[in-house]
Amino acid sequence: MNNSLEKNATTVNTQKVEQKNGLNERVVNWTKKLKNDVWKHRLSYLFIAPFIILFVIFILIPVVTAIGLSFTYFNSIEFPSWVGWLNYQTLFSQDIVLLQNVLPNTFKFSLFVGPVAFVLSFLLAWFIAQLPNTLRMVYALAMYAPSLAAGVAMTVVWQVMFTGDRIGYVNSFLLKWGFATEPIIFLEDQAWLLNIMIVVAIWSSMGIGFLAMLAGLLGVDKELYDAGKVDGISSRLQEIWYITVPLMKPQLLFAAIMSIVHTLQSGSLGVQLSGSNPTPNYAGQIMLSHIEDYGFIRYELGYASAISVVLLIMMFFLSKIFSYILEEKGD
Amino acid sequence: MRRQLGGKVTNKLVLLSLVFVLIISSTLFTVPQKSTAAGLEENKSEKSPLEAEVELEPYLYEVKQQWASEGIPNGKQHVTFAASEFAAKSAESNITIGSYKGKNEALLWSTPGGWVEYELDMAQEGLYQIDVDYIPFSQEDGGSKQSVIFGAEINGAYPYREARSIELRREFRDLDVHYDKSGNQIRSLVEELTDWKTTALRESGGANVEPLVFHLKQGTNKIRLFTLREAVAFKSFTVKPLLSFSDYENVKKDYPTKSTATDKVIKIEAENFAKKNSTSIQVQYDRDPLTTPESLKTIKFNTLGGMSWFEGKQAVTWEFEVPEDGEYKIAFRGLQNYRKNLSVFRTFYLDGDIPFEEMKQYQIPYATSWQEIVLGDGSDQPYSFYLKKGKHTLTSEVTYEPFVPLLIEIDKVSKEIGAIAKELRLASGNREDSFRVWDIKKELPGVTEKLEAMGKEFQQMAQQMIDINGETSNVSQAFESLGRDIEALLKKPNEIPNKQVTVGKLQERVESQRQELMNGPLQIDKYYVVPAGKDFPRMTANKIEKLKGIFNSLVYSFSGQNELAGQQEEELNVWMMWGRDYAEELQQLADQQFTPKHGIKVNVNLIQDKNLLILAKAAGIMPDVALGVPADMPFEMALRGAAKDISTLPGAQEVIDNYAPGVSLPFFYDGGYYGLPETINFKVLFYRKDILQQMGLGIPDTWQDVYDMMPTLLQNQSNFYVDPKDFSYMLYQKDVELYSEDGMSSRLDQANAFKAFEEWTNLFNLRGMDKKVQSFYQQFRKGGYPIGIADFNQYMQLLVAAPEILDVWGIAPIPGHINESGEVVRWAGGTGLGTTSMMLFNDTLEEKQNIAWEFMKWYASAETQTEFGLNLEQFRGETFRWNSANIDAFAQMPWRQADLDVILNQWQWLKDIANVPGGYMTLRQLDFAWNQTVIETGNPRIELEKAVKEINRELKRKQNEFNLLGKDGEPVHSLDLPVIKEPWEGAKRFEQ
Repeated sequence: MNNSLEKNATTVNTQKVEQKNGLNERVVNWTKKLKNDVWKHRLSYLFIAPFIILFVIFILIPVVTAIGLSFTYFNSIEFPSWVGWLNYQTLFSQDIVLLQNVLPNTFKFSLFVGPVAFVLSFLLAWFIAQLPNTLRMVYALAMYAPSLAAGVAMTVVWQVMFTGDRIGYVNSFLLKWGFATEPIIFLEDQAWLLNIMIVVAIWSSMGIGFLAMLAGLLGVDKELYDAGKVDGISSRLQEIWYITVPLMKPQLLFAAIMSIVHTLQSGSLGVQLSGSNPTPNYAGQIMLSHIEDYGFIRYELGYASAISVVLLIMMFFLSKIFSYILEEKGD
Repeated sequence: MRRQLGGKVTNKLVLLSLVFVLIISSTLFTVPQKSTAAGLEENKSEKSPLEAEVELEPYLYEVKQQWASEGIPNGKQHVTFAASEFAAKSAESNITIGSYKGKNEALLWSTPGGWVEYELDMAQEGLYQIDVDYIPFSQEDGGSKQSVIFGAEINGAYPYREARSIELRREFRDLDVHYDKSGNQIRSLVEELTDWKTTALRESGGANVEPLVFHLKQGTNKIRLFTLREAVAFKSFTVKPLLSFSDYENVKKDYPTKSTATDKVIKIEAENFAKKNSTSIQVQYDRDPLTTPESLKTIKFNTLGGMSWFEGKQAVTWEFEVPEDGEYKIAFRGLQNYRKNLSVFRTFYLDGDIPFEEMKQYQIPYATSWQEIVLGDGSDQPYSFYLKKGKHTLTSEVTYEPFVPLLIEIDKVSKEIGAIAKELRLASGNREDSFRVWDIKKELPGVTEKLEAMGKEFQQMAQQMIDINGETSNVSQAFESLGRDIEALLKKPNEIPNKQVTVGKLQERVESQRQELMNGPLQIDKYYVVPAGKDFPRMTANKIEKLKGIFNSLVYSFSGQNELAGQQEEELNVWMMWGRDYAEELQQLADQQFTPKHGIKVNVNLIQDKNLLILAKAAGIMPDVALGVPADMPFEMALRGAAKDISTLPGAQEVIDNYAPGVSLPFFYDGGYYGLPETINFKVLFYRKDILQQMGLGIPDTWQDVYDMMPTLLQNQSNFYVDPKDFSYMLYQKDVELYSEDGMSSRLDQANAFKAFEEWTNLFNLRGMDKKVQSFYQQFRKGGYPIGIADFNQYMQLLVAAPEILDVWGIAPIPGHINESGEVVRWAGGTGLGTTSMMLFNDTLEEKQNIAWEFMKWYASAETQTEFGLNLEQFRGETFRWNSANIDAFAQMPWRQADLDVILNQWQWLKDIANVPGGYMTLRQLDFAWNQTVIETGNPRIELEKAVKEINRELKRKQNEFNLLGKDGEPVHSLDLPVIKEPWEGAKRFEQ
């Protein structure tokens, strides 16, 4: 007994020592192993390095910094000072413009732009997928171009289109055909600005998501359609619903997330169109222009960071919801 | 076949129906049509005297043709008369007789203005040229670097347009060559050559190579001279017969037969010229492999001219020495690729005279790269010039004389289009009514015919242009396309009245060709003068050399002046938010004046964006001085403790007192000034004399006058232009302050603020001014807005880019309000109109603080500002007019005197917007309130109340942020905003 007790005691002791040593050892071992692993797979790391480096520099560091700054008071010139949750508190209790104008505007804007752009890009992708090869290229490019050239096109196309005097194309058309008796100041009139923003945002929304859908559509196995016909599918619409959409789930998800990002990001549209930040009477003020207002006009970068963190969280949850919806449909 | 038939049938149907409609309309509308025609005629007779008044004299070219047809002989007399023996002078002219620079009994005209008249008895009628013995006043005697411009009336009238602007040029030479620390050549200073000069009277442009021709009668002739620019001294005038030039063949016949003994090649580097007659002509550096001396690693100016040598009459003279008597030929290495396919012309003088006719307008064709230009007859046969042993001069002068016939055509056509546009405007009531059906042949007889003729004319002009230029060019193509546009217009003649914009565009496009033709840039590397029998050295690079050149310029473009020079602690770092020209100019001035005096190298760096200052602060690389900073920046930096309070520095009060308090107001914060104004902006009233006169309107003095003229303006389909969003005159003139004196709350809640706001919004709601205007400048040119309030930029644009209306517009102080004591107050702002400032920073090293302040004082001083501004404008053109905030320097710029008086008058009423923490909310909310009231037709009182609430909220919030409030929200201390109630005395001393 004694012996065994002693033995036990010693084993416990040695176990403890071993445990202690083991922890250190394990950490050492683990790092060693990691090092070895990294070294062993060095080629793979080399391959992902370009992405990782860019990701860290342009996404990870800014996001982390923004989150950090959102807890500080930072006027862009003096060193930031810690204020805790104050910025978030202000955001939800004091920022009248945000609550009265920005959130409703953002809501209306995203409600129209997001789903419409999503559905539209699916339909357009489908139409274009029906075309012969070369024509398809041309059309896809034509649809994709606006999302690339949005910044330039803004001043060249849309401002000219909606100019507030009779020289503007839309005004000149309305006046010519008698729909209006005097020119409408589209870009400063609060009744119009947000609607125009929605139109422009939809126009420029055929971006990466659209391309992904096009690729998805073209990737669907043609034999499945024949099989579907045998199984009793009688119209193209049924074909889309029962075969195309389920098979395109990943692309749809990707496009949906892109659409959300695009929607929430095209906030500076109003500023570009009206030529002033804030937009007249905050009529076209949405999240991004609100951030700019606080960051670069009022020089309250801490608070501006807090708003952008909220925007980030909104995007995150919206994309979660979408993936939930789309995943469920698949099952 | 069948389709054709079908076409015919429908055509017939259309024709039938058209005829039917025509018959009906002509029977129905005969009476009203007559009345409109009558109305038109009335209009025409009304405006004809006015048009005659605006009309200028014809060009010399046309007058010469007239003289030729009248058979007026060339004069043969030589008559010299002293300048001091004038018959009469005007009372206001500042003329004395005295000695100047070594000549006695000269006529000293010490300030431009007024006239002097001479009487001259001629024995024979004839055409003469007049030579003058003159010297422009040098800088120390009140002159500048500009040339003298004066006009000459003969027997009571200007004989032709050129006689309005006769130019007497100054001459300059570049001083010694200097290099900076890293071995780059710095632009040399120029020195004026102050000798008495004798030249024939010539016009100011480059239209006529030969001197002006004056037609003098037999008997007494009166010659009256008006100086328009610069002080000048005249000694004597000589009336001479016209010079005539023989052509090359005749000149060559008379060459002595003695041939040259040596075969030495004489090389003249273009950058080593003897004199130039404009400071704008500059040496340049070039990296072509054959350009000498090479300028690769470091900058070495090795060529001359380019875009700095293009205006008519700009001339450069070189000296060279010939070893033996004999015949020589001349060639130069030139770059003429500035304007696609357009030739340029130069006049060449040997020893001050044009050697033969062919040298008067020597054509230099376009080529993409450096070319060898041998003065010759164009068919490989170089001209030979007989030169005696010894020193000679060669002068090359810009001219565009060959294009003059085209320029006259452009003038004529442009005027015709203007007349048609006016006719259309009158007939349509300046409104395009697309529902009105026009019968242009009946309602506007003659318009289509005129347009048809014009279309043909454009085609001719295109052909003429090709003939002169030798190949098609942008200009000839522009004429062609204009012709096609007119054809397109004529296809549907009855639509023309609805296409007034198109017609207006035609005029603009014709006008824009004028400048193309008048500019003649040319860059010269070197001249060769070689004996007639010898070949020229090779002047164009071969393929390998070119390749090497491309490689070199690529390599060296990575280093040197393109790099933002590193900040050095022992140097004074100046950041400038202006263009490269400004930075270079300042660097030179600082090197020449500041560095020698204070012994510190100044490093002027060019930056593009004001946010760079903020980033620099974060990175800890702040400059010592920042210039060209947008006016809102010093305050923002001050608020956050980065800007230096200038008012605490030694001698600051004097510097600050130099500026109108209303102008330095935006830089004030909490008892200190954190910046100084660098440039200013101002608002003045622009008006078209011709149109207002036509409407029978005067220039408004108060807003009541403006309201009284509005109905007439609106009746005439025109309007009064105001910037819709500028509230400054309405609020300030009604004695409204934006903030309380302690700067803690808005003062827009006062009774007079509501009144003023209502008056402002009523301009648009009640008076019918336009809420949105695309371009006042365009509309002002065309006459849509004959009057309006605009700023400095508009002023320059009109001055530079609207030559056709130069003498029919003017400016006046902006309308005011009458205050209780019966005076007219004209307060107005300039904020938000792109003014700039200069500032210092707290981060600057202790030991450099003083020198930075010295630099700022030096830069802000009237002398530096004047020189900076004058250099900018003289080297780079009128568009670089420097709107210095230093009033003494501002007044020294070459303004039109009448305009300067108006601007200085308005200057005393300048009052910008004070800055307080959160002050941006005032502008924003006023803007919103304006939108709500004018566009959404809200109630002005309610909207302004809402605005005040929001403004005060934001002010409080910001005061909290910057610890200006105590525990219970009471202000800790007052910001003590300066109160500006009286116009600035400082501007008054300029009143005459």
